[in-house]
Amino acid sequence: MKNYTTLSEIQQDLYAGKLTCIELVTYYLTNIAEKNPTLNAFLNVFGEEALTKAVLVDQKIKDGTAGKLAGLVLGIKDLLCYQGHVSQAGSRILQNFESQFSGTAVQRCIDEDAIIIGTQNCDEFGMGSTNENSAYGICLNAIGENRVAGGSSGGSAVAVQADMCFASLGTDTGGSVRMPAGFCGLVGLKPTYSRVSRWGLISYASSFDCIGPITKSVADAALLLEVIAGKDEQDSTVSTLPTDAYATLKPAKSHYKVGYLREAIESDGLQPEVKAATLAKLEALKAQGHMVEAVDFPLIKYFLPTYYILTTAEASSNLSRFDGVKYGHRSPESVDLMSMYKKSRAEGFGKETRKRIMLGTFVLSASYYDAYYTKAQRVRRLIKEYTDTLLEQYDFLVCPTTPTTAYKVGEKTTDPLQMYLGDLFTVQANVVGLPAISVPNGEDNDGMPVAFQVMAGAFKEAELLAFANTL
Amino acid sequence: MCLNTLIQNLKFIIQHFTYVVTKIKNNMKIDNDALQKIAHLARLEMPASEEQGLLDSLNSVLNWMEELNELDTDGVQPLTHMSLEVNALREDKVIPNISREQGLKNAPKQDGEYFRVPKVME
Repeated sequence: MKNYTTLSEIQQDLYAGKLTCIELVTYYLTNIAEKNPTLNAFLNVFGEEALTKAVLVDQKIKDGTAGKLAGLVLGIKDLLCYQGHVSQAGSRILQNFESQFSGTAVQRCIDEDAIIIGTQNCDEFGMGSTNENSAYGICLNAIGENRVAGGSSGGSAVAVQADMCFASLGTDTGGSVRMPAGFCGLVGLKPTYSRVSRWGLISYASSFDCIGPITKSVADAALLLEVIAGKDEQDSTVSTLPTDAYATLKPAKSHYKVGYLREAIESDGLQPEVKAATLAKLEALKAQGHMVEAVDFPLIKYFLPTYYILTTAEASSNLSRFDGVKYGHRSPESVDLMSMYKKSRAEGFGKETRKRIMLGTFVLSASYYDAYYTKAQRVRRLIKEYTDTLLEQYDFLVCPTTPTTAYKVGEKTTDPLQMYLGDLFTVQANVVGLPAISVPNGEDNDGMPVAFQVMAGAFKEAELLAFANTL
Repeated sequence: MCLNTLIQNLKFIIQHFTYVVTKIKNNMKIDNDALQKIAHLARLEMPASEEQGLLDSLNSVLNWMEELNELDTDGVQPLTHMSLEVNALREDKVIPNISREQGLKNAPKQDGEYFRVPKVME
């Protein structure tokens, strides 16, 4: 199989009769059979179904009726609902849960003739940065020895990285699309909050959650966004603003105003190679004629505490639906209603999820509500206003996607605060609801991918993608 | 008051004092009692073997969260909604949703019509 980087290359060969969807699906299924037992990126593979769909799409291509995503073999994160298929959110509490409907983003991809090949491993309910919090085992990075995939959409990234599918839909609550994309040398896009319907996304923190693509190119991230974005009757928070024709990438301007976060570049925790690669990228931007300036962001140390107070609060509320009654795990030890709730939840949720539910319950409890939850909501406004002000002066804010490259397995699991620090540069976009993209930026001395992040103003995905495409 | 009672009381006071001091020193927000209360509110069974680990972990995260108190937020309105949409309304009409069969499909226990749970009232 040729080494394709964009869907348009694949489609060129499909339409020229040099390639068929059957060949594509067979290729990915062979790779899955070979690599998945070690990497554990896929939790469920829909082999026969994908082959059947491939026959249909091949016919549509011949008939000239195929959709925009014809030839795209797509994986979906285990957090997305796909009718008649198992969606488990990486959690034992949803083991074998079969979704009764398809989420809007998933359905829109199917309607454009994407072939869904399987569901992909992730941290339980998206709670993690390494994919080590999955009830179905860790997913390994395909590069390096015993390195994490990043999280929470780890399986999505590794599947694309290791040629087990061509692109994936992940979800990003605090960096869960961008971080694994960065750790695996891929492009990861988190759209503006509310740009993509959340219908059929199993909720973690509803005011942060975003569906976004993981791809090999900016062009495909743009194409997938074009397909999944836009208003939807099923989500009352989704934006009704018109979408752009993202796939027709705009020509980038020759002169942008780019601000980089001084605190991020000067941070002690920054791996030297990541720092060097970032500084080199900034120099390259200057050489291209862009204005590049350091900006101060004194609130940076408050990103993570704000994020964790609000997301754990929202999670404790969202996850109350898992009660062992209507779906999901029910403890066989239940003797009465209360023990059914308590035992089912204790057995069904993993350690990190239980901890976040406990934290969220605490910060929402009557005596602490104002001190933690309301306080964090106030700080969220401060961070948002400050970010918005900066984005009035600059077209983009840039920084490394993560302070380091992919960790070794087990390296960060002992200290939760160390683990949380990995999200430092990605959470801002979720705290303030803005779009951000991670693109590859070289590699470190061990050959692990380094990544560069660009954030733009609300609903400015078209500009963001145009700029990212030049990086 | 007999001497024994006095000693007992003193012991209790000293123990309690030591406990309070440790709590202040470690800046503990949550103690064992509070942990059990939160676990009950969250409807999570808490095995005794996990208590200490979770206490330490929660307290360290909560102390870190308190860094927000360094910021003056007087007069700052809490940011409660991230979507710009206001009153997203749709027509109120009955549409076929999922069937009963589909709705019951994933239930751990059901009788073809209803979800079944352990007996609630005697």
